[in-house]
Amino acid sequence: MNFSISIFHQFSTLQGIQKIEANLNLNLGDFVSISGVSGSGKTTFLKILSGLIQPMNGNIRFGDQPWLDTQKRFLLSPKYRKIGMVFQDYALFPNMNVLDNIKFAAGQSFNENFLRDIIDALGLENFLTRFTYQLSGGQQQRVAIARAIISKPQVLLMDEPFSALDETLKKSVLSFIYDLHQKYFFTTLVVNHQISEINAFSNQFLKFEGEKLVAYLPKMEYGFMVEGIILAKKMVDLEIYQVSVSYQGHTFEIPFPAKEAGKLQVGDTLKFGSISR
Amino acid sequence: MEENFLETIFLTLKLASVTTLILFFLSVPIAFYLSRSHGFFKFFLEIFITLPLVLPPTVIGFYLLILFSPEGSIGIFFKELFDMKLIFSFPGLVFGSIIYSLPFMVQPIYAGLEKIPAQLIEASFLMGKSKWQTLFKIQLPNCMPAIYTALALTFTHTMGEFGIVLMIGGNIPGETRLASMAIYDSVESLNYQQANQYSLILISITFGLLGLVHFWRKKILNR
Repeated sequence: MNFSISIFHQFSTLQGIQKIEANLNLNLGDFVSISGVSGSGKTTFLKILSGLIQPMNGNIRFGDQPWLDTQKRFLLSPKYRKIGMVFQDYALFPNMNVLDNIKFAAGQSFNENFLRDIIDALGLENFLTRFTYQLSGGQQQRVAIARAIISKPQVLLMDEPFSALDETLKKSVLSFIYDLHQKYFFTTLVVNHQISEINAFSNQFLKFEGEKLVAYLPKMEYGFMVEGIILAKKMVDLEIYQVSVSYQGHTFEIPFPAKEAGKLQVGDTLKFGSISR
Repeated sequence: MEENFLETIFLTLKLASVTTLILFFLSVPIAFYLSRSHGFFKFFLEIFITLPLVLPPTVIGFYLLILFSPEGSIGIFFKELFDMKLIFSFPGLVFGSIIYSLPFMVQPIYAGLEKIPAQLIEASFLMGKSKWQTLFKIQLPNCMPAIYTALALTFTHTMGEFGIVLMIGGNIPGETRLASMAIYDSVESLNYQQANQYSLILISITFGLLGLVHFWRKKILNR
């Protein structure tokens, strides 16, 4: 069962005409990290996946469910796609308090225990009755995450989901999302302006190269071809090292377990599972 | 104070209330349509709604007089279907006021809906909510300042209506005689004291209502 995406879209921005092209075949349940420079089309790509934007051409299929076929003029409404989305600006409803925001997303039938788990894990207990404009950026971001996962979506889209969280919160929220992913196996796509700890859990890496969304290095498999390492540094708390590598002329940061990363030195080259100096 | 003073004030408030209520329910779908559409019909509708703002009330009143008269198409329709006379009657005034005050209700609500960030609406759609659920649960509650403004503007504007009242309502005490007509009559008969009484009542109600709306708006916008 695949999540196949083949789209082309063109739209106007203040900088001129922007194009997006993607031809991907993901597995259901993949945890995908998408990076790219600011304005490269990451958010637009998520909106195309969610059905909020109809691309000019394309075909999207989730398992055996067609989501988009522009040739047949078919577009599955966003409400039938079972998508949870964390918007970059949170998009919390100002007329509702925190609990109502989450319950509104849950709809009529939701599991009270699951709601309780989410509230506990995201540390929302103390401000459930507050309105969203009374919350800090980090608190709003956690509410946005809670709202996206309460309905146990089949696809979770997150647009810069940890930008307002401090390191400690980031770690606990990330662990919670990873646990949920392992339990419910929802296909997760995370957009990151900067490479972050979320990559440690990703099994697919995508990056906008110009207008094209391309797959790149699979995670932590020692068969990949890396041409050089620029810098290795330890991420605090997570026991994960972010290692900057260059590959076919492009520079990426990839996560390594602490044990493996400890063997690396700046200037190393990884080739087919071996480190050569 | 003239004999029908309270009756005239009551009728004025009644017309303003009925018109505001009907216009609210009529204007929400219109504003919703305008906020979501881009076609030629929207262009046409926007002009039609704006017309009463710029046309002399007597122009609208004149055409309504023709249409509402016993020989006019709308007049015949209401006479045959409901046995109702529109010209020189309270229902006729309500119809006239609805047309005349339409922009005062539609425009603020439309502007309020337009101001709501698209992401709120998108988030609601992704949660499986329909267009109407999104309108009533997200869009309208988040444009309350605009709705307060629309209600107050429509109410106060209808209260002060004169041109259309003159054309299609006449000046029948207890039926179509409104405060604005009473002021005109009083001035015509040089009864400035009575004109002053009516005017002060209109100013007080208008000032109070606009003050209240200003207070609510500030309260909501400052949070």
